[in-house]
Amino acid sequence: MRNIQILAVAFLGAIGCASEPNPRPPIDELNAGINMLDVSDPTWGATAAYVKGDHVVYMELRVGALKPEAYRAEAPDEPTNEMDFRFVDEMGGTFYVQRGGDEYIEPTWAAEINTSLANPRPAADRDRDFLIAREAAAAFSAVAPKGFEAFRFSADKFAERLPPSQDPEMIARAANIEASRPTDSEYATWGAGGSWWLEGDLYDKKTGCYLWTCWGRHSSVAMFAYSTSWSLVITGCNHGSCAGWSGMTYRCYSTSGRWVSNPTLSGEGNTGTSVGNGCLTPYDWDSGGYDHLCNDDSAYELWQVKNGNSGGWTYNTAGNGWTFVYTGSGTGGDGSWVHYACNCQNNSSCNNDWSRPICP
Amino acid sequence: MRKKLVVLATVAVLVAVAFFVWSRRERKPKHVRRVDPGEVHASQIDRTDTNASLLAMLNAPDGATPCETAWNAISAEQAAARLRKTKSLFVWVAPKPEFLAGCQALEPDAQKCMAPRYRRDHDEECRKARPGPDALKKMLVATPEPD
Repeated sequence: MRNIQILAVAFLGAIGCASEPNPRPPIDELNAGINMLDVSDPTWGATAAYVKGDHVVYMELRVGALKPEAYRAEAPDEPTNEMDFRFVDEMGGTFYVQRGGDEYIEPTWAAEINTSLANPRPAADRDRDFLIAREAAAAFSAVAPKGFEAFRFSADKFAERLPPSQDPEMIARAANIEASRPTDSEYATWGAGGSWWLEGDLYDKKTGCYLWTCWGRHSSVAMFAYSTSWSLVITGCNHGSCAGWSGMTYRCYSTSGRWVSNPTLSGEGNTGTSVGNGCLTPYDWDSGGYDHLCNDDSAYELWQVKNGNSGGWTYNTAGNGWTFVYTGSGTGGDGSWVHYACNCQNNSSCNNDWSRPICP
Repeated sequence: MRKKLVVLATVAVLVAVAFFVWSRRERKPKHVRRVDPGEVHASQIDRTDTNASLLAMLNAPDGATPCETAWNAISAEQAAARLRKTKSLFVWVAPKPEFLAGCQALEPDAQKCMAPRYRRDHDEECRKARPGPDALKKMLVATPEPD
């Protein structure tokens, strides 16, 4: 009987060793530096971990839909597909996301990012995470196997940028934000995990160009959430080039202008259970039907930053609590009239939405 | 009895080892694919007249000079517009000899930027190299940029 027990233990032990791998192994199972956890299928995505000292960050990349030929032809050096890319800290909190389209390719990301927003990490930890992430991106790029060029591109672009705690512009903005922080007695919600200052940086580039004529602009918004440091960054690429990529020029930024409790950065037409989506109607070049284009996404993202949530007042002229419509003056103070919406047909059709939005 | 047990134990270990090796070999991560990476998002964009015109220019063959490449691109765009029975992006284009003469009179940097693929890959440089409107009018009149 004892012999059978021994045999059973040996057999089950062997089977147990063959269980599915943990997508985020703990640090004691990882090597120092870059750990390529899953680079088996470049049409699906990749995961990696980077260990520095006693800390680890995880990289997760996913491949989305193929971009239209128009975009691929216009920017042949960029990934052919929409790409999602995020960094997760050792507590499981997301602190950086690049979103290729309107929604996250992995549906669980939205709720996980929402959880991160509700549970800010101490400033020193988050600053450190961004520093390690930058090293991780560069290391990933250096060893990414053949077939993962699109992933390398996203990693390189991340590595090129200074982390918020070292970026003079973001340091200056943080100083201004801190100067507006209410005193403890007034700041009743502080410590409840829900007090944030939001900012959105608008980038754009001319698109559909030939000779010296261009048919429109593509825009993208980098959304920042500040608690006691820059804690979460969501870059909405809005189907094309992402904020900060070559050719994309920084234009302006919007802020919440106040400390926001329990903010959401949700998709239009959504009830506030996810974070960071853009318009959820179909995407089209000639918006005017039941659809939208990148500048409608950007306008939505900027207004959401300003309002601190997906509902709100100023941008919700439809008055139903979730439909995004913005009608107002256009860019550059040229007096043009613009009309951005996520559902251009039901909102008196969009006009001038091939121009970039203003920063409200 | 003891001999039987040894044989059984050996067989069990071998089976376990075989299973372990097999399961490791088959242990490719299972990926749940949320999106078909071959499916084009917003494919309507590719079917628009503007896009057909832009792609025709980008895909036109190189000529011996940037100006000849520009001529090939504009000719390809006009052919694409005719095929689609739609308006060209160009309201008027000079005959080839006048077009080439006007182009060759431009600064060398501007000539290079007349070629669509070069212009795409050198956006900033080409914006700076923009010739005066009168120089362009000798060669072509483009449809105004939309509002």
